Amino acid sequence: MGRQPKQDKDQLINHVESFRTKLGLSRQQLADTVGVHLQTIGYIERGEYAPTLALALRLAKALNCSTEELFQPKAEY
Amino acid sequence: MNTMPNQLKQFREDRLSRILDEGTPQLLDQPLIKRSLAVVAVASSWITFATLLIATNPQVSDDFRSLTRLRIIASAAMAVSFLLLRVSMRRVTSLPDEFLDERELANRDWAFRTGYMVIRRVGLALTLLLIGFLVFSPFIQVPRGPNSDLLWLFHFNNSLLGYVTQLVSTTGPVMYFAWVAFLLTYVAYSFPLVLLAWREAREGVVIKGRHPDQSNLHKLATRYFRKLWRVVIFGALTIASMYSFSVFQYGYIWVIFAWVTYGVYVYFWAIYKLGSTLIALQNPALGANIRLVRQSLLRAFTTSAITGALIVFVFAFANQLNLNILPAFFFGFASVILHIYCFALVRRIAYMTASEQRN
Repeated sequence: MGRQPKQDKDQLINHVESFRTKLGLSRQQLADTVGVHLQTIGYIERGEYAPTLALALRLAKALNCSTEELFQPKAEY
Repeated sequence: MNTMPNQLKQFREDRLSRILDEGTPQLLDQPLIKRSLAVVAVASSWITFATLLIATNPQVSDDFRSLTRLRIIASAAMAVSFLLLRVSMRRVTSLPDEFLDERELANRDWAFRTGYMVIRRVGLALTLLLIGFLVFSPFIQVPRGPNSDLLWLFHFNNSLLGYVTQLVSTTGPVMYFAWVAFLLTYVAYSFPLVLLAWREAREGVVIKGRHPDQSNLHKLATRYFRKLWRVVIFGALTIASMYSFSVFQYGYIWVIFAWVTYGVYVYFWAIYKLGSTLIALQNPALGANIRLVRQSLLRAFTTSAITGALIVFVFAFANQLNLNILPAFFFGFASVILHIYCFALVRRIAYMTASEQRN
């Protein structure tokens, strides 16, 4: 099968906010650690922006968890 | 070596440094302000376009067609909203990739790509409209018969020459095409900013510069005086060459136009910078002497704003109230003098701040 257009199942559920609050980090602190702008953390937490793999890995490292724990697809493939 | 590429490199580095130093003004970083500016930029360009369409329609009565004032206000709103949007979004649009994160880069690329797609279609539609008009209007006029093809070519050639001639004249229907070209350019420049401002307005975060203190005030005043000096020199050269060579025609009007445009830009730049400086100086921790100078600055700035408003009033109501437009030039001169005074005060505050910090 060829390339499919983006669908709902491609959307991600993320747990960035819960992991961040568990560690007692502010958005600014997390943004500084992973090297992005403060607003970007807000966009990721609200699910309005899906990070690249590199940023997802940096986030997972900063939040002491795996990327699978942090991001999951909305629907199963 | 002070070669042209080196100078350009230095210019780019200075600009980059200025963006990083100054950050984004607090007021322009508010989500509501960003979205309002985006709405004003789009609405004002549509209003300008609509007034042009109404003015060219012969079915509409003369009373309704005299929408010049509305067009002037809408054009002014276009210019102001564009300049403010540019300042508001310049971090994302002007900084090199290494200063932005991946979401900002993705947003910037999306906005410019979408802006390009829109402009591409609008530009194509306008070009086809113009070509269609040029090709088919003589074709319809030429009666069928022997040699009609040659006649059509002759009419097409005449028509094309006529349009090209009208393009350089200040009157005639083709002047409206010049307006449309201007609007198209405006959309090309402002539409990506509108999209970005709308997208980046989900949450208000003040993007602070590297030096949020008053250490940049001295640099700011120097920049104003340098700009004003350029206006004076450019103006003197323009006027001198105008009288020396009597070259008012042959496109010389564009030199005068460039001078006036740059002068107006410096005027609005000064208003914007003085306004932001006054906001930045609303700091209760400042010394009593600096607060006193700030009050003088506020008074001078308010007076300059009143004289500026009087210029607009004179030009807007000159016809209606039978006003002489000469006082507008006086008000303009007074505004510039007041701006010079304001920036002298800004420089004084910079010295006072430096001296306070030393003590």
